Amino acid sequence: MNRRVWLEWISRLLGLVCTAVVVVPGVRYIIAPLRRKAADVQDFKRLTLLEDLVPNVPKHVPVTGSLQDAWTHYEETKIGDTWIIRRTKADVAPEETHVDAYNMTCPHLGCDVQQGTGDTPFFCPCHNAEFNLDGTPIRTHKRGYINPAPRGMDSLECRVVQDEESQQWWVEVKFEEFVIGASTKIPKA
Amino acid sequence: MSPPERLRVEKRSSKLIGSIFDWLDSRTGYRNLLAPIRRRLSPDGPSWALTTGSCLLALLIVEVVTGLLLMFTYSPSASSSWASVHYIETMPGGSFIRGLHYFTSQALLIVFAIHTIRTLIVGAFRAPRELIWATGLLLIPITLTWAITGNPLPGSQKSYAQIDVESKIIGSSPVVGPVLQRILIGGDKVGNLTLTHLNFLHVAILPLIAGLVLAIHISQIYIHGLSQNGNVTISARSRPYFPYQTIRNLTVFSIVLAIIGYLAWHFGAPLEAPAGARHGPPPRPEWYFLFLFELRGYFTGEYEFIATGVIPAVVLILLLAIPLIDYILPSKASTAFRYLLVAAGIAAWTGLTWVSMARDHKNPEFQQALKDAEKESHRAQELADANLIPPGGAALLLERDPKTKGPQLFKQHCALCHGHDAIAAKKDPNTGEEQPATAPNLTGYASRVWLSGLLDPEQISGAKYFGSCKFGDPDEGQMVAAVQDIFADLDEEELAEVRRIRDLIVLALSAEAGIPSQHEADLKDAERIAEGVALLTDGKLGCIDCHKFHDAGELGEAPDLTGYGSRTWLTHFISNPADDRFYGENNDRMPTFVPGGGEPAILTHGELTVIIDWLRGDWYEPDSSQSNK
Repeated sequence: MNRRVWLEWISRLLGLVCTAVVVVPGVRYIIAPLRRKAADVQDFKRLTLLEDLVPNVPKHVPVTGSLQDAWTHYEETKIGDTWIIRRTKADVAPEETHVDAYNMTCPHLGCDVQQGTGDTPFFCPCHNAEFNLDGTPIRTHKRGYINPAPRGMDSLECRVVQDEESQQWWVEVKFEEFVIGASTKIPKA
Repeated sequence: MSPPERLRVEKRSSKLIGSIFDWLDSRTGYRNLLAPIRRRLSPDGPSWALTTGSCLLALLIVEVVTGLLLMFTYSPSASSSWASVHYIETMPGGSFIRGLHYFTSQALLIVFAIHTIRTLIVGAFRAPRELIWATGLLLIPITLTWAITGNPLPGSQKSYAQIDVESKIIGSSPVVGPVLQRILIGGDKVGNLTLTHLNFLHVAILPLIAGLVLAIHISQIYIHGLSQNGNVTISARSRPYFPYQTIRNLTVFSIVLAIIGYLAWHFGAPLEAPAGARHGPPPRPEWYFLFLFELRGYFTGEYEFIATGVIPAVVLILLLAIPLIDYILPSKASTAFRYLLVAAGIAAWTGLTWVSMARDHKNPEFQQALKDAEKESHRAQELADANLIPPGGAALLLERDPKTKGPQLFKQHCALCHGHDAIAAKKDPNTGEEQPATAPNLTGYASRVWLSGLLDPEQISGAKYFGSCKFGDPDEGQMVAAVQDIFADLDEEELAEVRRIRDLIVLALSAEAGIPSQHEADLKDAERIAEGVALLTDGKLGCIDCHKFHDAGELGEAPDLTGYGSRTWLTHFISNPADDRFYGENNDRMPTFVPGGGEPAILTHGELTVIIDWLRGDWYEPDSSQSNK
C-alpha cells in the first residue's frame, strides 16, 4: 500500500468518525419514542354511584386522571371512557353486587364503541364491530357480514366500595389501555 | 497527453458494481456532474492554510443536521418553547445534539473570522475571484442574523431580553426601522408571534438564502480554482485534492469537532430560567456582539444607530471594495493597507469586548444578578425534571413555586410589617436605617420552635412576637398577660409541671398545622400530641376560656385554633383577619387581602397560596417525600 492509498483510507476513516459523532446520537434521539415508557399505571378511581346504575343497562362514564404529554403535565384531564354495567338485580345487597366495566375503545382500530339496539347491545360505528352485553364479539352468522373485532371489549378491574364518611356505595374502576388489533388482551403499560 | 501517475484519480472497481454504476451513469450522466469534484486538483499542492474554508463548510453541515434533529422536537410558542427545549435535554442524545448545535454556531463565527482574515491577507479576492469574495462577505450578515434568530428560540429570560433589545435596535434605524421591528416581533411586544417569526427565519428563510449564496460561492471556487496566481496550471507541486488536501481538511475539522464535542458533552448548551414576569440581569448580547454593545455606549440617544447600523455597514462596504482598492493601489501599499485593516479590526474587536467584559465583571450588582439568574435557572430545571410544567407553560413554573416566588411576594405584601429571617429588613428611605418590624416575625411560623417562643412568658412580649404590634400593649391585648399569668408565682415543682403541659400543647397546636417537614415527627409523637389535645380541650392552662379549639370553647374573643397554621386556616385568616373567626374588631393593622363579595383583592388566590406554602416550607424538593399538592 503506497502512501497515497494509505492517506485515502485515513481520510475515509476520519470522515466516518466525524459523521458518527453527529449521526449516532441523532439516531438514538430519533428512535427515542420507541423506548419511552407508556402511560403510568392508574389507581382505582371512583367513577359512579352504585345507585345510578340500572341492572343490565350500560352507563357511559368518562375517566379523568393526570396525564403527561411530553413536556406538559395535565393535573386532571380526560384520559378515557368506560361502559359500566351492573349485573345483579337491584334488590341484591351492595356487598354482593357484581358490576362489570369495559374500556370503550374498540379493539379493532380504536374508535369508541356505542350502545346499539335489540340484537346488538354494543356496536362500533367505524367498521361495524358488534358485541354482546358481556363484551364478547357477536360471531353468529349474518349474510355478508364479518365481525372485524379481533377480540371482545376489554374488561377493566372493577369493585364496589363504601365511602367511610358518606356511607354511599361507589363503583371503583382501574382504568387501563390495551393494544389495538391484537387477538388477546395485552396491556399497553 | 494523459496526466502523470501521481495525478490520476480513476479507480478500478469490481465488474458487477462497475456495471451497475455504468447503467446509472448512462441514465443520469452523474459522472460528468461529479467530475469536477472527483478530478479536483490542488494546482499548488496541498496546504494547511486552505483548510479554513472546508472546515467552515463541514461546520455548517453539522449545524444543519443538528438543527434538523432539534426541529424534530422543538415547539415555537411562548408557552411551549422553553418546555420543549428542556424536554430535548432529557431525551437520549438530546443534550449532546443541542450542545453540538450551540458550540458549533460559535465555532462557525470564529473560523469565519479566521477564514476572512486569511483570504484578505493572501489576496484571494483578486481577479477573477471577486465574486467569491463578495458572496463570502454577504455570508457575514447572513450568519450573524442566523445566530441572532436562533438564540431566542428556547424562550429563556435572557434570550427574550436579548431579542427585545435587538428588535429595538432594528427599530431605531431611521425610516424603515419601526416597520421592520413590528413585522419581526409580530406586534408591540415580544410574544408568541416573535417566536414563530424567528423560527421561520432561522429554519427556513436563512438556510435558503445562505444555501443560494453558498452555492454561488462554491461553484465560483470550482470554476476559478484554488491558486495563488489565478491560473490553474499544473506544476510539479500539483496533487489530487483527494486525499492530500482532504486529509488536511479532515485533520483540522476533527480537532475542531473534538473540542466542540467535548464542550457539548461536558458542559452542554445553557438553559436559563424561562421568560416570565420577573426581571433578570440587565440584558447583554452574546459575547461576539459585546463589541457593538460597547460601541453603542459611546453614541447617545438617536445617534445610537450610527454604532449599530452605520459603522458595521461602512466596514462591510469597505471590505466589499477591497478588490477595487487592491487594484488601484500599488502592491506594497495594498498589502500594508490590508495588514493594517486586519490589525485594526482585531484590536478594535478585542479592545471593545475586553472593556465591556471588564466593566460587567467589576459590577457587584450585575454579578449578583447573574448568580440569582443561575439559581432560578437551576430551580426551573429542577421543577421541570419533576414533570411539573402545567399547560400554561414553563413561565408558570417559577411563578407558582413557593421557594422562588414566596419571598418576593412576602417582601412585597407582608414585609411592610412582619419580619422574617430570610427577608432583608426594610430600611428608612432617607436615613438607610433598618426599621423595626410592627408585626410578629414569621420565620418557622406554626412550627414547634415558633409556638414555644410564642407561649414563653419572656418571649411573647418581645419584638419577635406581640411586642412588635398593638397586642403587646396590656390595654389592647390580653394574650400577653394571660401567658405571663400562667407562669407567675409558681414554685419549682409547679413551674416544671406547667412547662410540661405547655410543651404538650405546643406539640398539639403545631400538629394542627400539618407542616410537611414536621410530618414524620408528628407521626412519631402521636401519643404526646393526643395528650396535648386533651389538655387543651380540658382547659388545663385556660386557653379555651378565649379560644375555640374544635368542639371546645367559643368564637369571638380570640382566634379560632382549629386547624391552626394549616393551609386552609391560613388561607381564611390572611384573606380576612378581621373575620369573627379570628381577630374580629380587635384586628390591629393587618389588611383584608381577599375581601370577597366583588371587592378588589390585594392578592390573587394563586399568590396567597404561594405565600402560605412558602411560610410553611411546603414546596417541591427533589429526592424528598414532601408533596406540595
